[in-house]
Amino acid sequence: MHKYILLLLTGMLLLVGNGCARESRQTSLKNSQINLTTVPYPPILGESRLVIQILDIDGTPVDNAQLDIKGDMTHAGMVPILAELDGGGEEGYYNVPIEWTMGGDWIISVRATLPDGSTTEERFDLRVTMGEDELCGDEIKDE
Amino acid sequence: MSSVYRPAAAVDVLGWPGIGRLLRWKHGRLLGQLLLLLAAVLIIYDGITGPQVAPENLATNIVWMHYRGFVMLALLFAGNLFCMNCPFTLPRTVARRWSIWGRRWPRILRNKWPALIILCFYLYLYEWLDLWASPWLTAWVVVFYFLASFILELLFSESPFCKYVCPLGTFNYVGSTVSPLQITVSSQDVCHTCVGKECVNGARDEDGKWLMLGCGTELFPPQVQSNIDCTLCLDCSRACPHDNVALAIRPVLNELRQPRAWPRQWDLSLLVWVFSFAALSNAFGMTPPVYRVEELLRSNLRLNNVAGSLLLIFTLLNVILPAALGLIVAWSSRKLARSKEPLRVSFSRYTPALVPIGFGIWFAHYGFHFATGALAIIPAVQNFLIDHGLRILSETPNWRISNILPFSWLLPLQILVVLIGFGGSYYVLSEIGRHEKESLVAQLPWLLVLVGVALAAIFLFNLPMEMRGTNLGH
Repeated sequence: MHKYILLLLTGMLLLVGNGCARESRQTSLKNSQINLTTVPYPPILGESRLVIQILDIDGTPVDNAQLDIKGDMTHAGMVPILAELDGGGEEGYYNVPIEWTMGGDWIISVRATLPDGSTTEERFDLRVTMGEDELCGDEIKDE
Repeated sequence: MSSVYRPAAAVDVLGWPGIGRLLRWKHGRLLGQLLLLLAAVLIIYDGITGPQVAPENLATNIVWMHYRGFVMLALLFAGNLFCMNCPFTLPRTVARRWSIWGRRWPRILRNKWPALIILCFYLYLYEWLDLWASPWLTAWVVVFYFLASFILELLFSESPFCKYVCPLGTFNYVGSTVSPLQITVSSQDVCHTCVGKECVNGARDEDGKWLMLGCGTELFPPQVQSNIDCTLCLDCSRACPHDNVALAIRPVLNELRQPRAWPRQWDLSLLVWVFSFAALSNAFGMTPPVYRVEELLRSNLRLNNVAGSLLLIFTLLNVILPAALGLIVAWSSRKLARSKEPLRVSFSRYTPALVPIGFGIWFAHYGFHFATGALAIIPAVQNFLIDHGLRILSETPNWRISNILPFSWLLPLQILVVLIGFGGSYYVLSEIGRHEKESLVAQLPWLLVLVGVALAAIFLFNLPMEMRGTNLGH
């Protein structure tokens, strides 16, 4: 009996140790802020545009950032939307053409690499509707 | 006894070279269970510590896409392979050794009612908590399964978790009635003269120590007529001292078209109705009209929380609708046949005909997810390794890898699967009618239900699908 308990505890300790060491769990200090909205808003199935705003820690707009965008559905196995933008930006605003391939809830991950080389990442939940008469989420929620 | 259907053991998979030997090997099941245990550990670990975005996490990929896809394929082409390799029953031996109570499962609960209620509750939790969208919750579902299986094994002398509780097992039992494999015996005579009945009682050595456990769900192979309650663990085969248990290949839908293969009980029949109607409601939960129904309930009944409105929708679709419709159909059929038999008998007679169409709808739904995302496990694994500093497969996950079939094929394939399911149901219906010498007119209400279910499924699959799960609409 003790053998099983010892084995189980050792296994759990190993898993906890490994889990804490994962790269995705390493937190870094936020040096900028990312805001997101869509055109049209609320987003509708089909072609659309993401409008992303990048501000530094003082609230000053940041241009010439590199953006990596990934849109995931909430179910595993659905093809994500991927987009990249290298540079540009006007008063901190970046326009990214995008096509919503399915209605429902999406998680948009925006990773920004600022001109000084620092990076920041934000995730946004939003609902894509099928059309004008469908119910939709109230507003974009920053996680 | 002569009317009881049993597949002839002419084709006995256990007699095949290689695979047969592996299946009969004392540790044959353990091998498969250890593989799934490894998957379960990964699910728990990544679900709790990994990225909380479903497509990026192994937990949500494995559980809500691969598990369900492989289970449907296994049920269709082989049998209840998940229960055979179920990792949740691994602590069974330990629990038996520590058994603290040793009593039998209460007599009042020795039926399908607990399993039916738990299956409905599980389907409700799935929708309410958006389990598919949460790696964290998915991991805890798996932990809960291990705990529940262990605790029930600890408390009771048989394996009540598998037979009376587990919603996965309940689903698989019903699904496996379409499967081509079934436990049977090579010779009835051997069983008649067998003293120990080790297949069900288990085998012990002279000191009373367990050599091999008997059937956990207490099935006696020579009397097995159905795959219901069979976990395909093959303990019966390993325990049989006469090597008389066989795993036979049977003709398609043979179990369902045998009128006496199932006991004519309310609980089992209603379970099959719920199985088929839940296939519709589960797909319905992913379409835009469900929002409208929720909104209607909120405005008209002042149900302002999602738990309440979903509970109402699911109780209506998964319990009240199948129960009411089943009773109406059974009553009409009895009336048309001018029979005075108990309603329970009329209700149970043609219920097996619902299995192929229900199975077809589940297959079309889960098959859709599997076909669109089976390969998405590759970037998820890449992501997992990179997250641990292992860049052996790639520097960055290739998120574009996903589907195994062209998207344009999916809807036609779904419709085809539903139509095949309908064809199977119609065949079972007419075969039961022929066996029971019932008039065609008595089958008419049942045929209408089958047509209605098939049309509802085709309508649902033609609706644009939505993925919910971030609580925006809640």
